[in-house]
Amino acid sequence: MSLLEVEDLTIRFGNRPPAVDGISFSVGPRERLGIIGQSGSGKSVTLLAILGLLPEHAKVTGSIRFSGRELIGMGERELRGLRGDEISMVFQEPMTALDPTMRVGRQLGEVVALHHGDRRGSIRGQVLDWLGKVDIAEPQRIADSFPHELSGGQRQRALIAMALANEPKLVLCDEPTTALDVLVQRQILRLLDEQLKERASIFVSHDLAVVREVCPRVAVMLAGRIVESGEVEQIIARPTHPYTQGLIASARIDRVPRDQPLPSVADYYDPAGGPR
Amino acid sequence: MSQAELIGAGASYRRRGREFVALSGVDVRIEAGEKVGIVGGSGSGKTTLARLMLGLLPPSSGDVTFAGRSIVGLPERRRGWLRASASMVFQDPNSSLDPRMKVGDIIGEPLRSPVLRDRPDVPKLSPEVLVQAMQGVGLDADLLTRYPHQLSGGQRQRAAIARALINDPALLVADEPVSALDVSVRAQVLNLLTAEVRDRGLALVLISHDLSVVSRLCDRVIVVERGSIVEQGPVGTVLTSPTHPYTKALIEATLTL
Repeated sequence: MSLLEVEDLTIRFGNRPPAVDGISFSVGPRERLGIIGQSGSGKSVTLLAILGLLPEHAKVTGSIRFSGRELIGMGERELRGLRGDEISMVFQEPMTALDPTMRVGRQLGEVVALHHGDRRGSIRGQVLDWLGKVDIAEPQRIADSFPHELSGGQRQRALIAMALANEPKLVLCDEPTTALDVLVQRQILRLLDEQLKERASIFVSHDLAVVREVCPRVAVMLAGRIVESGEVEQIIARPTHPYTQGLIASARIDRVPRDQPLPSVADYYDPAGGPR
Repeated sequence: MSQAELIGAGASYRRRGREFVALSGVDVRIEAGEKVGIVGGSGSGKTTLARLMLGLLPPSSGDVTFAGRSIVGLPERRRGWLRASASMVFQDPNSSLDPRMKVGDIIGEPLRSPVLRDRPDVPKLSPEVLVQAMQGVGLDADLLTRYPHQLSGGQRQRAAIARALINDPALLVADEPVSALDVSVRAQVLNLLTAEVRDRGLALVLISHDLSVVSRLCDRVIVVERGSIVEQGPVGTVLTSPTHPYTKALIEATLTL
């Protein structure tokens, strides 16, 4: 049975065209799903809907079932019990996701204390333990530092530790490596690959090359819809939707001779008129 | 005569009361019309190098010259000649474009600057110049009256490029110009940069950690690690047969489809 089942999910803001338009997918207890799409395609909004973090004026219809429970329409109190405990999120920009006024160790401890008040006495130990598990070299020093005192990679590791601290069943990752350089990106992808092994996860990115590193299965989102989904290697080898074809062609910068212009998505897919 | 040159240049900051050396003893020579990539991870010093080259940061040691003249120690009002012929494109157009200014005011601002507006080598600000600048980067002239938040990410970076090119510079420094952009718009912005650099015969200093972008746009590459140059040479040679372990690690970590 799937851990997460999303069916016909539609999200509207005011009278604008739906941000998410009738998408369905499911994620098994140890499965990883990649969602790729450009900004505005609805991929991040989908993650926020799963966490129940959409603004109040968003109109959400359809169904999101997690461990058999319906999340749409669930009360805030109940949602708060799930968030950070059974479902957690790794955000793109660790500098904005972390509280700049609070030491890293205290922020991490807060996640544990919020859901497991009984463990209060031993939280410091757990915090250091988790910082170690995400390969932070000096857990003591990092726990006592403020976010601005850490490097980008360290901040992202701390954020991952926070997302994993309560051993959630489902981890949502929103562009977790976009703000990092290639060397740190590789380390973080390896860390996620290892830490997400026993869990379900959804990995959102605009970069198919990044998603391929961690997800065997991928869904391509365009204007709120899933236009193509399947095995990542198969989609890279034989994309069927013109938008996916354009996405792959435009990412292969190294394959185009320098005297020829790079193909862009617009050469393959015209948002106004569909395929070219 | 070189377009821009760093001679034994170093830079240091004070961080938590202690001195932090961002760059030390760096020699870089950029010839007129040459396209050079500067690569390295975050914190390697590559952005500091660019800031030294444009006189945005004073060197703590060594000299920086532009078109054969030293720019070190010159007050801003005496740097009109430098500002007229060197421009910069920043990584994130969300923070490099003033959110309270209209696009037309943003891209025309270099021409209104007190150090540039009376110079014969800089075009006079006029509606036609603005329209031309917009067309040059593939933006509709209607967008001149919009604010940055009303533009898409790709359009914003195009506006930032229009601003950098409006004073008709000889050197363009681009600091990670496409890394904040979606893969889908990255190709278009790279095509634009390639065409502008080629058609204008610009010298280009491209700072990036993305080696595929550097090999696309540059002829020569300089690899920076922890404030020092560890390897340099023609792009083809360095990227196919790197000698330094740091270069090898960068190449190895680059993801391709």
